[in-house]
Amino acid sequence: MALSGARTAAAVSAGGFKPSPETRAIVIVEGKNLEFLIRGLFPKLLQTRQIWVLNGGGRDDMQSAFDVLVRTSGFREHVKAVGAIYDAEGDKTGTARSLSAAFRAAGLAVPQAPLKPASPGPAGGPNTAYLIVPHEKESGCIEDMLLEAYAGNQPPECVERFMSCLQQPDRRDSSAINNWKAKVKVHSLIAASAKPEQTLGESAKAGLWNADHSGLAPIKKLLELI
Amino acid sequence: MFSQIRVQNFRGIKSLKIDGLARLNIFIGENGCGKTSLLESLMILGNRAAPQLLLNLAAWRDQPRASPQFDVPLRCFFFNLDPRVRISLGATGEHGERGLEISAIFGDYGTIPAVGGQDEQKPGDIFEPGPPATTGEDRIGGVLYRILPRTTGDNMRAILTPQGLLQPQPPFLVASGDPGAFYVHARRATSLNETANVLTDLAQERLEEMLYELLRTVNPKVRGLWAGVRGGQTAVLADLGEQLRRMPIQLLGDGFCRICLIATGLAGRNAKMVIVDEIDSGLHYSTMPGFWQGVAAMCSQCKVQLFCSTHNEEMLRALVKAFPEGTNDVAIFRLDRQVDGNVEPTRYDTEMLRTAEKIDVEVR
Repeated sequence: MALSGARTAAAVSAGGFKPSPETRAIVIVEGKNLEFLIRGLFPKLLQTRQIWVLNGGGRDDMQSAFDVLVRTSGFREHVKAVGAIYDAEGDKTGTARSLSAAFRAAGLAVPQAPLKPASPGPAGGPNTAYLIVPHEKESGCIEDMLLEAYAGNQPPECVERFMSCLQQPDRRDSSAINNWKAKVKVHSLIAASAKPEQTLGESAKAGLWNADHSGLAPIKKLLELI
Repeated sequence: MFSQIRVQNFRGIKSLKIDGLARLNIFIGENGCGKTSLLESLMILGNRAAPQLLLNLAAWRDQPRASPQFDVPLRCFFFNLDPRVRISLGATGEHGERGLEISAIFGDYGTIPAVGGQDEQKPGDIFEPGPPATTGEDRIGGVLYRILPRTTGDNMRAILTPQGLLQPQPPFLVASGDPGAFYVHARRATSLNETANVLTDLAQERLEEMLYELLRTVNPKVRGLWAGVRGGQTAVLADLGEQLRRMPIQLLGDGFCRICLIATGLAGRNAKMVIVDEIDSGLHYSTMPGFWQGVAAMCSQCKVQLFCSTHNEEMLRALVKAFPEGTNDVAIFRLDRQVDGNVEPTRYDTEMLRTAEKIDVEVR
């Protein structure tokens, strides 16, 4: 079953995803962008380890997404591991707390720290693990890790000039860029690539980001842990 | 209102227990998971004083009726067609416990003491049918039907045979306090007599507008219904305003007739449970959110509990649209058949449906 890129009929019925015998593990991620990015970065790993990447919606949907996932038909029968990847944004500790609460409320084992898997009790259930990105940073998002793994030697000059321009103090709303520098730069790099129209997931598939770079190793490690 | 239901060895269900029932209960799940069996068990539990309704189950599933020579429809009451295992149905609700047991009588059923005779049963007496006429026979001559719990004097029994109900002992009076259940099976489209009766009741109390509001979710032109008798036949006509003549409701389509029937059950005075198999049947997707809102309003106003089944994804999406703020009045249960024949329920609320739709996860 090909898990890379396009969804497959085995796991997605007309109405949406539900675990099939080929769904050994599920990793819930924050939003569609992250879903397609991880599919694009690690297609072989996902396929060989039979991991399904599920968009868990935004931060506000986290608890409900976990609740819905564990209720899906076939979850208890087929799924042996559940992982989660969420952005730290401005509060890594808060994100960790929310994730722990979501695992607990869904009746899953609660991992004690990022990349520290938890095993279920005697009652059974899947193993669990989570990652908050960027790993071991207090704030930020997945794009911070992507920038480290940019496959080009140097960002094109136009991108640097664009970023610099956006941050000019005399520019109206220049402060708005501060929290989103990494996201903006990632999209600028895509715009400067050979296929400027690509989405984040497509850019990963096309090799714009080096999936073997140490900057992305924590994601790979999570996928290997679950 | 029932908050819990328990089913054992009935039809397609070996064992099932559902907690957390709400005012509107929607059962989903794969074909053969036990949805219709569950609805049938609710119908029986809601009408315990009418055991003869069991004989209708065959007809509702397109089976021939049972006869002394043909016991298959009776056998079909039992899980795996094994009549050696007693059926047990139970529910818990605001009125306490309600239960029912059904067991097979092999061979010919025994004699039943005559009412007023020397052997007449008193409430609480243990009544057993006489020995079968032909011992060792596998043929089912009837079923022994017991209303539970025994401790409250509800220990009433009857024998149901293919020919009908034998005199219950004692007469089923206590059980008349049951909620009463109005059952719309999957192929039932209309019942003009029942609709006419309900319409008359509502008109007396000037409450008919409530029924029209639900009908308008399917046909916004409906101004009202009119019921009468012509040539001994009941007629229900719809006033669509722009038409010169009122139209028989049968001409307005199966979907309209079925909603009319559901509204009849919801507004009727005799049933506090309305049970609808395949509630989406005949409904266009655009009418579904309004339909749910109308049904919820009627259930609340008439203090009726709804139990229904659907396979329809649009019907579930419509629930999310119908209740954008969420509601505690709706519970969705997916039934999953286990390898051992037990059926396991998984409960969702409308908020979970909203998330499932958002993250593209299948709940059915």
